[in-house]
Amino acid sequence: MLRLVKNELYKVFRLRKFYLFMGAILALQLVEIFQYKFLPQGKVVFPLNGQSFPLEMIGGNSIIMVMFIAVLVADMFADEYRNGSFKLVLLRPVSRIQFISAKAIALLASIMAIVCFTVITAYITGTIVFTWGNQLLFQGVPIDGNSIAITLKLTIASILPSAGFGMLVIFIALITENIGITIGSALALFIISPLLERYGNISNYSIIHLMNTFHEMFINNATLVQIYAKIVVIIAYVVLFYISSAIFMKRKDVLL
Amino acid sequence: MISNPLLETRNLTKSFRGRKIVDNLNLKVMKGDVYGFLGRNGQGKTTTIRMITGLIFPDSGDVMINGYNLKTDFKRAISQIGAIVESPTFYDYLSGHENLSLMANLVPGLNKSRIDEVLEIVRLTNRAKDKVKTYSLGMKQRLGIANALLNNPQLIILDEPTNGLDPQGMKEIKEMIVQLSSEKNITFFISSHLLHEMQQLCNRIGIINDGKLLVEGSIKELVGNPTDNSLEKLYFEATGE
Repeated sequence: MLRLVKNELYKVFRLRKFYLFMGAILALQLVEIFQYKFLPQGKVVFPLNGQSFPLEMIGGNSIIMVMFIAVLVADMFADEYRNGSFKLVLLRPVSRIQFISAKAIALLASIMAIVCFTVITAYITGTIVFTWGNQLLFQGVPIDGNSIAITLKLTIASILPSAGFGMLVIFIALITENIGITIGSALALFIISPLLERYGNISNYSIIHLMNTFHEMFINNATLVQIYAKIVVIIAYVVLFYISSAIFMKRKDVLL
Repeated sequence: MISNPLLETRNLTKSFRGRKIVDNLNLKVMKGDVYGFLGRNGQGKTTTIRMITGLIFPDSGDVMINGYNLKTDFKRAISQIGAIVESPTFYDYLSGHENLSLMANLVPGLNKSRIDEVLEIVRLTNRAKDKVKTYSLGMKQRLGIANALLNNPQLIILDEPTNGLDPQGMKEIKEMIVQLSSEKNITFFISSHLLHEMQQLCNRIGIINDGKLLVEGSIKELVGNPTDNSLEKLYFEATGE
């Protein structure tokens, strides 16, 4: 199983797309910096410093995370199925459950790598441009406590809903076997998510909404009950779509 | 003494959308055979191979590989074989060596030096570091055979191995099969619709038509003294075409 995960990770890190997304994250950071540095004083929404910039970027790059997960899953599942390289592994002494689990673990590790890259580069670019600053600020509001520890906690919190979204996209990729539909569905979910906020509580169950907001709960004085409720929703996404994908894969006739 | 078959299908049946593609198929491949699985396109050859390799699930029936039931003992059964199903596909953004290295990771207890050995057997050593997307179809086919050889299988399954190859590529693949069969004592199960080619290559054949196995046996027994077109004659007699 570990070797299977290593294989999947090796393939991911050899994909040019992976590095293109890293470039896109850096570009997004530069755009943010440009806006803060060069907007007229009155138009700057709230102040920023180097230690706060990573938090700003975690919240601001959900579209990139959605695209990253969609493209990676489309590549790992739909494209490999279409071009026949799925067979390479399935003709080896590997169970289909191991196969799907290894891919899911590799996806999670890739998400973690991209999020860590976001945070580390945001620390570097933010500190160079804004200087480190005196205190951690979240949307301009000072936050008490060790800024690095808080950022780390929020970074980890931001990964959890991405994992839920990843499992949902894996399921879509497996049943559609189509790159376009996989990426299109992920983008459609991203676009629909703000519309759900009009209907009150429904948005609480939207995984995209959770990708945007879950980590903020840890500095927005949310109660433990509120946090646990969201964790249950996220875990439900992970478990439901993992089990569905595993059952589907176990019965799937590989025809390509 | 009669030995047990290395590959055996028992009443293998598969339907798609209500149409029977493979119908109660019983075939036996003995150790040392170069078995030609013959039939026109669309007669159920690839579906049978997909069931033998566990890629698709039969509606009923069993596949036994070296005594292991593929359904109930998948890992042990699949460890006995190497296969190319339809066209040889790889991660084309990786080199030939990298592809084999990833596959070698999935074979328990395999020494990494085996990768160089199989590349040498298929004469791809000098292109091993190149990305697969730069390979010709013939080279991909040879890399496919290298991949199939990785786990020292007793049986290699090839689905239309010379399809799309130029005459030189076809000659190389045929020579490789003959060499591996005679020198390494590897059993081959080869599907094809090229009758003349199969007559040159195989000692036993099975003819499939409309999902049913019409004829099975050694070429010598079936056609007596083989002439250039005797297998062709047998094929058309059996299928009534």
